[in-house]
Amino acid sequence: MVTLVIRRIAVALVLVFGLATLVFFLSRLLPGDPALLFIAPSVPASVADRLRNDFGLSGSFTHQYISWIAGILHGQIGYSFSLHREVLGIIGNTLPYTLLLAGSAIALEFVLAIGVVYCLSLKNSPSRNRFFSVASISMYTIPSFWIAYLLLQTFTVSSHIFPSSHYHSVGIDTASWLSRNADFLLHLILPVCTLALPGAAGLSRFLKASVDQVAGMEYVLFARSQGQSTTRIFFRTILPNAIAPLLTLGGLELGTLLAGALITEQIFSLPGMGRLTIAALFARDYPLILGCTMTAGIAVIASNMLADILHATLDPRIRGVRRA
Amino acid sequence: MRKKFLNAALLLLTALMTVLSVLRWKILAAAIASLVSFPFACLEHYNGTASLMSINTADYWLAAIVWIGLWSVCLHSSYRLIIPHAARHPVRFTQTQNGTQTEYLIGLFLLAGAIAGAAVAPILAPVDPLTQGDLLSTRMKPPLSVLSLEENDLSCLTLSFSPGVMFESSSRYLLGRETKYISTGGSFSSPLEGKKVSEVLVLLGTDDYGRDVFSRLLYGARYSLDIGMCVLALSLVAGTLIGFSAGYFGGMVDSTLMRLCDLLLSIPPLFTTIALMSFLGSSIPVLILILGATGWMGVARIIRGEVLHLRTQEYIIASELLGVHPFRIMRDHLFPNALPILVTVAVLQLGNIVLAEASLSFLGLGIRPPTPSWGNMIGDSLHMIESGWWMGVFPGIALSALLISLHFLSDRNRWATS
Repeated sequence: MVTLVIRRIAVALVLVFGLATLVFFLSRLLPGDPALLFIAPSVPASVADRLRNDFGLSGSFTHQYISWIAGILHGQIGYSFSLHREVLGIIGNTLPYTLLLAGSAIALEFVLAIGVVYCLSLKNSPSRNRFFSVASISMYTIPSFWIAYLLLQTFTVSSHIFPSSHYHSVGIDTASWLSRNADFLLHLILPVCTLALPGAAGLSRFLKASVDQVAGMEYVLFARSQGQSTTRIFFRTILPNAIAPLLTLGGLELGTLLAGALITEQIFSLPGMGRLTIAALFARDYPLILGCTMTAGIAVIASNMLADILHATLDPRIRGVRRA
Repeated sequence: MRKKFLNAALLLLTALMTVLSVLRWKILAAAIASLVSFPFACLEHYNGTASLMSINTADYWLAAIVWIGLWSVCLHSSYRLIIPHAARHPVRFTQTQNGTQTEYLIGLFLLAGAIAGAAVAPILAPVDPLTQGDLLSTRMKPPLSVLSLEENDLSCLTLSFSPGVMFESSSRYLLGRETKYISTGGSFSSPLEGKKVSEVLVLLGTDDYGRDVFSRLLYGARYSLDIGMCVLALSLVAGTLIGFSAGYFGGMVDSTLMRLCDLLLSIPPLFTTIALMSFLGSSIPVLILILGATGWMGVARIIRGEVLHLRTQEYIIASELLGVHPFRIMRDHLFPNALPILVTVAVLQLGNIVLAEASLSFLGLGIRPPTPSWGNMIGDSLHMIESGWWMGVFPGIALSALLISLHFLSDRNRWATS
């Protein structure tokens, strides 16, 4: 187990290092000197030099590369000139919002997928399965911004049930603790649904296949012959065995969710990485864009690593297989 | 049951196409006349050929040819349905072997519909997708309302049918849609007074700039599919080359390429696209390049897996023992055997690309307005969501239908090949 954890962490570190190298080459090999865009002829030479220094554009190519890697190790990705702050500080402020959004979306995905597959397992009819197959493929393929549009149209424009944007209502700061949190949850529902619905459809397809496979095992037959109820068999016997492989998928899902957050946060005007990235793109704020890209990559690598480790912890069989 | 349904659909389609052909005979006739007279016009103005031909004109030619082709196929098939003794041979595409593939049929029809709709857009579209008309009367009209537009705004190939002027005016109407800007004459005071006005039924309403949603939908399909096909070609070629060399040569080549793949896949693709866009700008060719550069990894992985599997087959080992050149083995043995899976991947990949383009356009980064694209139509309609549902709902339905049909097709392919 310890070796597995150490190996996973080592692989993740190598990937992060590769990512940093890739981002460096991306920013240096592409045409144009980013600093030139911001240095007007009237700018004093000292300011221009400072700008170049901030970009890490002074010195030789090797020197630039080493200082870029050293900067990352010291937690200095760059200085955002549209927000006039350290990139790491900005990302540190916005990342929690996106992680909250993505985390609740993943949780909702698993709940929805398990619920749907449980309902399907109650009665195994071909017409139901076929309906599930078509519906889940359709749900999985529909673009998330279209889902957001429909949700907004139904729940905000037509029926005023959920608010359309931001995490807080205006003037809620003075209200009681309880109503503040209720307000926050109410604001969270539509964005989380937008993110989670396609993912839940994809996840439920995999879970269905996995459950079908496990349901044919002899221990399930044994449990059934003991006279246990279908519900008990599903949640106590089938699900723990069927869900372990899906955890790896949950790790991969984070990448999709981060990309989805790019769109969802834009639609619902939420603070977070996605909106930050797009704002940085429109402001041509290169250090911030590179920082956001790096963060997204690191988040995906880290979540894959965690999913692998979690998978091995929950399913002792994996450890033996990996070691062999 | 299904056969009856399909036959009814076919008859309906034929009737619709016939009615539309009659309604739009002017455009059809003008397109064909300009196609026929183009060589003569070229001969006449042989030193000014470049100005005779514009992309728009070629659009009309293509549309007219596709339209007439589709129409004749429909007429031919329904003729056999209507006339009893001609129906000895049932129509071919309503024949299906097994009863479980309704999704496949739906997918096929939707995809064919999208491609055909994009191809015949100039004929099918009642108005030019950029025409705004008089904003006071054309803005935000709900579906099925009637607009009054200047004759010039209808922007079709205009054609005078008196035989004498035909050759003289050929060079003018060959220029296609641009003629309308010349003849409008720039009188903005009372837009429709004293002008020849015609009424247009807007099927799906108009947007907040007074442009017809249906026409924009048709022209938007062109951009989505054009970009999709170009990017697909790029990413398939790159992915296949990389996948083949990784799978065939193995060793260092394989591990280097696959680690690169892992690395690129670790960044969510939308982020890579945005980062690249910030350096390279966002014109359509750049968009195609960037989407191609970020789309080959999935293809390469699947192809590599397939090649690794094929390499263990006896016939490959035999040809290696015979000393056949690796390139020839790839061309003659590996490629044909990997083709079915390549097709499945391609269909799925096309869906991903269309979705990526739509997402970027939705965010305002891909295709910029006023050029229509399904993504930017939904994006633009978002701030008008309270006043006009039709501006976002119809492009959304079209986009979702296209994506779902591509998934159905690739799903069926996967079953067929496995």
